Amino acid sequence: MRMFSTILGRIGTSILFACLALMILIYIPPICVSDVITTHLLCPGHYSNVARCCGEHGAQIELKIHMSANGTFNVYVVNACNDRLMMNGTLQQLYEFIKENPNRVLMEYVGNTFEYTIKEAPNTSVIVANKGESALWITYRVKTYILMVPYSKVKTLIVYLVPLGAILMMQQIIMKLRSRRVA
Amino acid sequence: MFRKGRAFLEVLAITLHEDYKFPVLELFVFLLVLSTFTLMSPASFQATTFHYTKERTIYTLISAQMDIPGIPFLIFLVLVLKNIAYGFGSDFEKGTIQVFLSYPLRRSALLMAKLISGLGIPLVMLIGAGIFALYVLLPRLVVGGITYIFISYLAFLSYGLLVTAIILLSVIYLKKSGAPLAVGISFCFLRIIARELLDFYVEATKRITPLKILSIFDPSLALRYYCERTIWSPSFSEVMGYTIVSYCLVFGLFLIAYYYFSRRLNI
Repeated sequence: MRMFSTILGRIGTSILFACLALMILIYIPPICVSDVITTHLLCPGHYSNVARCCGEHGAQIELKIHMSANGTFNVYVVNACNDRLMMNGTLQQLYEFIKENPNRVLMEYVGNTFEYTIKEAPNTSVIVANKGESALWITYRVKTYILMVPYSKVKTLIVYLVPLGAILMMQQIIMKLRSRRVA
Repeated sequence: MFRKGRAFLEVLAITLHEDYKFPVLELFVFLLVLSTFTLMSPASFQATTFHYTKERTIYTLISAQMDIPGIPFLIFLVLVLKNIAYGFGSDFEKGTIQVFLSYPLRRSALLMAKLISGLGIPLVMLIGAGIFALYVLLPRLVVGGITYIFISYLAFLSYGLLVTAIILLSVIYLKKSGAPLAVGISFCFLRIIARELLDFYVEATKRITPLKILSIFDPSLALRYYCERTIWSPSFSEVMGYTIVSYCLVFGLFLIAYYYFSRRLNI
């Protein structure tokens, strides 16, 4: 019984040390791997996909987007990556997509400047649409950061593992204290 | 039978206590988790950005942990050297082995207990940290490619196990801790030097025979060329062949160690 308790206790302390390592990794700030500034002409009645976070590595990426234009534009942050919203298209196609998948539109914005950060969101696209009657010169800057670990996933793991490790460690301490009292 | 089982557990408990006094185990777990994530994370980004195949992605991630200059693999070897070369060797030098031999236990069972503690636990820690990191970084890869992950680990661990078997043999034969420790450390550096020299030689001469010879001792080399397909492109069955031959060698050395310790060793 004592041996079993010791083994469980040591597993507990090991889990706590593993969590400590994960905590250190969480505090490492993201590294900027690309910074792209682009200007392009968006014709009226069209949309453009300006930034995408696709696939499994989306969980390890952070995108900071800053957009400005010489007029008002509409921005849609959607939970889609490839589908029919690959790169460019007409507003008709965009409306059809929104009509079919209203729950995949995470955010809608209207204005002439826009700032947004996609954090650990795999399969997210930022779409800019020109609903006006004149063409727009849109300048956007996309900064790509990579995270050492997917923060939210690791935080969830820590939340579950720390109490487990603490319980396993505590039972060993209690067992030791009891055996001392008996002695 | 019950008595022998109890004696085995007692010896195992003593060995575990000696090898992993607080906070040795915890410190190594901490280092393994930290170094595995630090090395695997950029590799996973690279693999997904360049759209590697599933096999190559797994290879890239596991090689970041295990291949040169794989710090987690070095941590594993340091732990094995500490436990087997230094720990087991000290048992011979200090005469503690006599105490263990007084237990109603076969010598092979005693060696088994020493190996579970000295090699089994570091192996579990290394592979556990690797699969945990793989699952956090690319969960779908672990679910879909567990067989390939298993084969990759087998290929990468072969050299480490070969070194362990050599260290174990030298500890049992010399009954000392110093020389086997030096042998183990030199084998760690030998791999790094041999791989660098080989890369240079193969690039210069375009001959692949040395690669094939070295793959017998370190099948991760064949796995590397299977994934990268540069100068040598072995088939998957060839990689498996090299891995099997390498493990035959490893098991052969371990069997010799078992035989020598059980039947021939005079203490």
